[in-house]
Amino acid sequence: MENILLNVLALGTLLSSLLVISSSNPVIAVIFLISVFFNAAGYLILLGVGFIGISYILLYVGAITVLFLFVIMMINIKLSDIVETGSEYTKNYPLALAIGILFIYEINNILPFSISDVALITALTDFINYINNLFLYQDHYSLVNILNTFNPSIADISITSFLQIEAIGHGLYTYGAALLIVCSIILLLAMTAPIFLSRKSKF
Amino acid sequence: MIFISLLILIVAIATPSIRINLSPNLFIRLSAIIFIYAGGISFNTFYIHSIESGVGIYSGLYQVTAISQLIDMLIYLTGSLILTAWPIFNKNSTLEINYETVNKTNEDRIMNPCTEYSLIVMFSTLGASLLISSADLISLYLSIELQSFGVYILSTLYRDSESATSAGLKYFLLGGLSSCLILLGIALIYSYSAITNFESLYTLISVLYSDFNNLSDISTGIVYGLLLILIGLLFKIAAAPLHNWAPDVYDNSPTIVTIWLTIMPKISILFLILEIINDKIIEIKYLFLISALLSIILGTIVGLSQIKIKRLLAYSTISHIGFMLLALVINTIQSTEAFIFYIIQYTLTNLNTFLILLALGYTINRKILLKNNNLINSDITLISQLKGQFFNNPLLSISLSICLFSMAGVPPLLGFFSKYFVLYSAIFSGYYLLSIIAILGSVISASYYLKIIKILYTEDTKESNIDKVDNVNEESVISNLHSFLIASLTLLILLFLFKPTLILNSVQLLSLSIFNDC
Repeated sequence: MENILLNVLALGTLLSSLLVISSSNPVIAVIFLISVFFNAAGYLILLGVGFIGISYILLYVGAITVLFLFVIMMINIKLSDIVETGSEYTKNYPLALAIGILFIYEINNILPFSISDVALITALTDFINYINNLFLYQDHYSLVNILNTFNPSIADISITSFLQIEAIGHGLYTYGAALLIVCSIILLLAMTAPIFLSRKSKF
Repeated sequence: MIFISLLILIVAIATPSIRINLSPNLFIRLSAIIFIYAGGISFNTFYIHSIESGVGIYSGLYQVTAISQLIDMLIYLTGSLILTAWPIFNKNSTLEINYETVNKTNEDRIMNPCTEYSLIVMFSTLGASLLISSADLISLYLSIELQSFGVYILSTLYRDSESATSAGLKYFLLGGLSSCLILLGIALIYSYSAITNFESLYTLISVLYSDFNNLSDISTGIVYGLLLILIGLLFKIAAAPLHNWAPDVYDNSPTIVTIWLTIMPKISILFLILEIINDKIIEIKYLFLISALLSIILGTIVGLSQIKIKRLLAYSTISHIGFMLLALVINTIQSTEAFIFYIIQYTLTNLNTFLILLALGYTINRKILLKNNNLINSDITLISQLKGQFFNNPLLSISLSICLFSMAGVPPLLGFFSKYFVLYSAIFSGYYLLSIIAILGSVISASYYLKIIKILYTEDTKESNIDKVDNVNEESVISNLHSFLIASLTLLILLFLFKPTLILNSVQLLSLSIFNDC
């Protein structure tokens, strides 16, 4: 069941990202961008990467795309200009096809793909398996959960029982402190540079 | 070392708040001094004995080795040298104030982009030095971003000129694309092996390739990931099949930025490739061979038809990169030595050429420079602008021709030796076809260097008299340091023959130290 939902979300992400590129109106493109982020966030949350999924929604949807939307509305580009420039780029379709085919070939080589990976096709058999599991199997995961709830102070469990945010923070502030500093420098550059670029001047 | 330079940098960033008191001239000098100081500090670390085998710092995310320190020094020194290439602004502004006291205020002087230039240059240098010593895929990506982000901004710095803005935008988009490729490669490697550290990646690859029969899924994932990363890196250094952006960007951005673009990002990324490259994976070897071949051929042949001088130099850069990749791919002690030597030679000659071009630009278009403080108009764009310059400023044009000869690889000069070393090691390890093509390429490229020199020495009968009269009256625009620098670099290129041991020995020691580790 969860598998099917994941696939639907992934399909939604892909579709709406295609629509972002292909829609001629920039406002609609941004709205599709928001839907891309929502789908991706849902995908992440379903996978169990809750923190990053939530931060996707908070940061991208909440701040960045709304900013995009405002900027695009403020700039007020004429639609006809965009359509004209778009038609210029269609000359490059053969090149794009060649590169795309090469890329897909490479990806196909890397990722082992078989028909049984697609959940929609195998949904029926999955369902039967699931029912079989219900009746015939004993669920190991539930046993682990029971173990956890009854013996909360086993050494192994207490070491591994980080919250996600705690785990990220632990890694970031101990192991990756240097990375954090480098990130902060990049951020500093990203803050100073627009000031330089957009300041009024005459030279 | 890195941390200290970081502190220096932060101090330097704090200075803009009191910038009104500092003249931009002073600011440039200050940052040049900072660069030299940082270079001195990185030289100091050679006294630590454990540096020979390499020290991992920041929980293995970065690694300091002898070679990274040397390249740090090289980068800092060239950075400080490039900064001296700015003309003196104080003199100009006083002149302006004399001419029209009412209109021109101090603001004009402050608004000159050189303070921003030195600041952003510091950011990107920090990224470069981090990049050289990075020993982890994440730190690699972050420092590449830091470096190239600075460079994008640098090329857009003259935002009033349309060409510079378009160059910056193009550079930004394509650089973003290549960063995406690098990131994709990193993600592939991580998803297949859960490894981001270089050391463990090496060990994993050597284990996987120890028996050729048993190549699993993991190895294909890692190979494709590495290939993607390397393609992204080749994009950034503008090697041949991915070179299309380079001539446009170099041509459109002002010369003072072009110096930085052609030299600094390339040094660091090439050394990073030296770190990453692994003999065992054949696909990577092929990738580099093809890229070297194509960049030698394209760089020489397409360069023949250029009329703009910076485009021509961009194509010559591409062919130089072909040579460096050739040296990289052979991967023996000799070839590594040749590679390091070639990079040092390339920075020196390229630096000198662009410095001379700047100086010529300042002297030719002196009036524009003095009146408006307008740097971008004072650049030389066409080769034909150099016509007959030998008769106006003979010394500059003699040194320019020496530089070009050295780039072409005429025997007694520095450039000859580097090409000689590369070709020698190539033939020694059996790359006959490639070395023949490289020789042919360097011969062809010599013709376009000679074309510039010919234009330089043929007299333009109409305008030269007028120019001469002008030159006598006005004082020099080029700063003392700038001319001193050109002179010493030219002498270095010329007189390398008499005392080659200084560079050669250190280079040899470095390449030995690399191969001792392996």
